[in-house]
Formats: sequence, structure tokens, C-alpha cells
Amino acid sequence: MNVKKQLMDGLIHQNPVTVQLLGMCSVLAITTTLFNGIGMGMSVLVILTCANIVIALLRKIIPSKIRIACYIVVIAGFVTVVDLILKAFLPALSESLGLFIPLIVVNCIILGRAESFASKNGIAASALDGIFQGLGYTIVLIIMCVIREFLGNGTFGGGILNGGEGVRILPEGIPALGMILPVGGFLTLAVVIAVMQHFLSRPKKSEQKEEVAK
Amino acid sequence: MTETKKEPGMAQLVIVLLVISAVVALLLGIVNMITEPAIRANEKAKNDAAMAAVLPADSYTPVEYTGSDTTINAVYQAGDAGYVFQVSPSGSFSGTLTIMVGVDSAGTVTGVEIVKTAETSGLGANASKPAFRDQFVGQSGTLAVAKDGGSIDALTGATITSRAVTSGVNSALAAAAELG
Repeated sequence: MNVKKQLMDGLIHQNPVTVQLLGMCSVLAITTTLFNGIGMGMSVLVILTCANIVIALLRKIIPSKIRIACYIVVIAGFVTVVDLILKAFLPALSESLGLFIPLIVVNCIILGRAESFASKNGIAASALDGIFQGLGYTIVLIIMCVIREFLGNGTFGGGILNGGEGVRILPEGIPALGMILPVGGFLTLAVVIAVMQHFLSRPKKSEQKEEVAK
Repeated sequence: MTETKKEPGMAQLVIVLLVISAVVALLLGIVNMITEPAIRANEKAKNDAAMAAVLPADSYTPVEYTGSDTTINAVYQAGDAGYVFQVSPSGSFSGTLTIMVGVDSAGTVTGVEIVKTAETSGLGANASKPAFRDQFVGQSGTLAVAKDGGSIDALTGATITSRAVTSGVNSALAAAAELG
């Protein structure tokens, strides 16, 4: 029951990107091809889960005065590990994401979940929180990637399908290049958040009505 | 704010942070030991592949470059076929752009490869596409993009990147002329 609530929180009700509005920088910057989105999402998921587990494990040892410093050391450690592993075994992804992997250290999602969840909950719950929040982040990244890649480049699955070129849907010349540039990131993110908020606010009303009816 | 009964002393704060940092540092050291050879091999493989693509040769011998062009990182002699230059031209759109340029003994470009790029995805990053790079093959002298009165068609929406690549090729051609 609790797991289900955590899952729904991570994916929808407390989605890190569209509801908590955390980690915007990476969301805007790297969502240009599907490959980037999946790679970044998975990297954050792994780091978030590992950091959550360790912080939940140490939550009674870490004095509250220096908790932020301790969190950052743990998070930076995991980020560097992931960065090195990607460089060694997935160089194409590492190159494509560039600076944004080291920048996960300061991604608010991870510090935010450490502070608001892992420091107050057990190891299992924190691990699940990491996975679900990471999934919520990844799903938004993938949605943004698909929209921006389609409108800006006219392709689907860039970096993975069709030898990295992506499957061309729109002929060349038609796509609006601006959608790949930062301006397209802001526009797409705004639309995604607006749509998400629209659907989030509706069921609440119907629930209230049901309660009134009862 | 009420004072808690067990306010941790300074010593405890220092020790906790020190222990956490030490454990993380140890972990990083181990991971680095494991991944370093693979990272080195990746970089070397990429460099070798780029050299083989621009000017195939049996062996590449590093040559010391003594000229004044600071954008040239490395020069390799590709047997007697010519030289391969690793150039990081100034004026790229973002980050460091590194290209590999092959120049044969007659002073014409045999190929251009993008080794390292931080150009905008979908615009400047298209410089790595063959349609752009192949324009340089067989060219010699001093090149320029069409906008500047030359023969190289710039990438759509990425004239700056196109100019940077062109200037890198020019550096390589000039250095090749110096080397003879």
C-alpha cells in the first residue's frame, strides 16, 4: 500500500520535475535526443537510489549541524563513480551528456530527497523513493526528449535507433531548429508542466464531489 | 529554538565528516583504479580510429611541432603518406573543439574527423556528419566557408562551428606546408 503511494508520488503526485520543480537545469539542457534522456535519467536514478540508501543508513549518525556537508560528500562520491564508469564503458553517452553528469552533484532532486525523505525514513523506503523519484524524472526527460527531438530535428530515437541518426519522421528542412536550442527546452517544459498540472487538478475536484455526495 | 540535550561537540562533527569523506575517497580510489585503463583505452582507440579514418597508414610516428600555431596539439607522421594533425581551432561555438586532419605529401586534405566536440546538438554537432566533412577532402591552400567567399558550404545554423573547423583545417594545411 505504502509502496504504491510512493510509486504514484514519484511518478505523478510528487513528480520531481513537474510538481517539485527540481533539477530543471539538466532537464532543459540535455533533452535533445532520446539517448540523452534515457542515459541521464538512469544515471540520476542510480545515484539517487544509492545516495538515499547511504543517507538513510547514516541518518542517526550524521549530526544535523553538518548534515548538508555529509550529504554532498556522499552524493559527489556516487556521481564521480557513475561518471568514471560511463567514461570507461559507455563513452558515447558520457560524451553526449558532457558536463551534466558531474553537475548531478548539485542537482536539487538528490539533495532534496536526501533532506526531505532519506534523512527521516528507513533504508528500504528510501531506496524505493530513490527508484520511484528517479523513474519520475526519467519519464519527464523522455517525454521532453521525444517532443523536442521530433519538433526540432524531425527524428525519433536519436542516438539509439538507426545507427545513432534516429528514425526520420519529418523531412529535413521542416523541423524548427529552435526546439533543440534552449528556447525549445523552456517551451516544452512549460507545456509538459501545464498539461501535467491540468490532469493533476481534475481528479481532486471529482474526489471532493464524491465526498460531498456521500 | 530549543537546545537539545545531546548537542554534539565539535570533535564529533569533525570525526563524522572525516570518516565519511575518508570512506568516499577510498571508494573513489578503487573505482578509479578499475576504470582508468578502460578510459585510457577508449581515448586511444578514438584517436587511432580518427587517424586511420583521415589518412590510412601502417604506423603513426609522433612528430614534434615547432611552429607558432598554438592551436595544433599534436602532429603524427603517417608513414610516407603525409601527416595527421590534431587541431583545436579557436572560435568554436562552445567548449573545446578538437579535429583530426590528414594532409598528404602533396599538401591536400585527405580527411577530417571530429575528435571532441561540445557544439550544440542538432546544429554545430552536425559537423561530424560526412556530408560536411567530405567537402574538405582534396582541398588545399587556404579554405573559407561560402559566406566568407570560399568553397565550403557552412552547416545550417552553425556558421561559427563551420568557420572553426575550416580554420582548423587551414592550420593543418599551413603546418603541413612548413613540414614539407
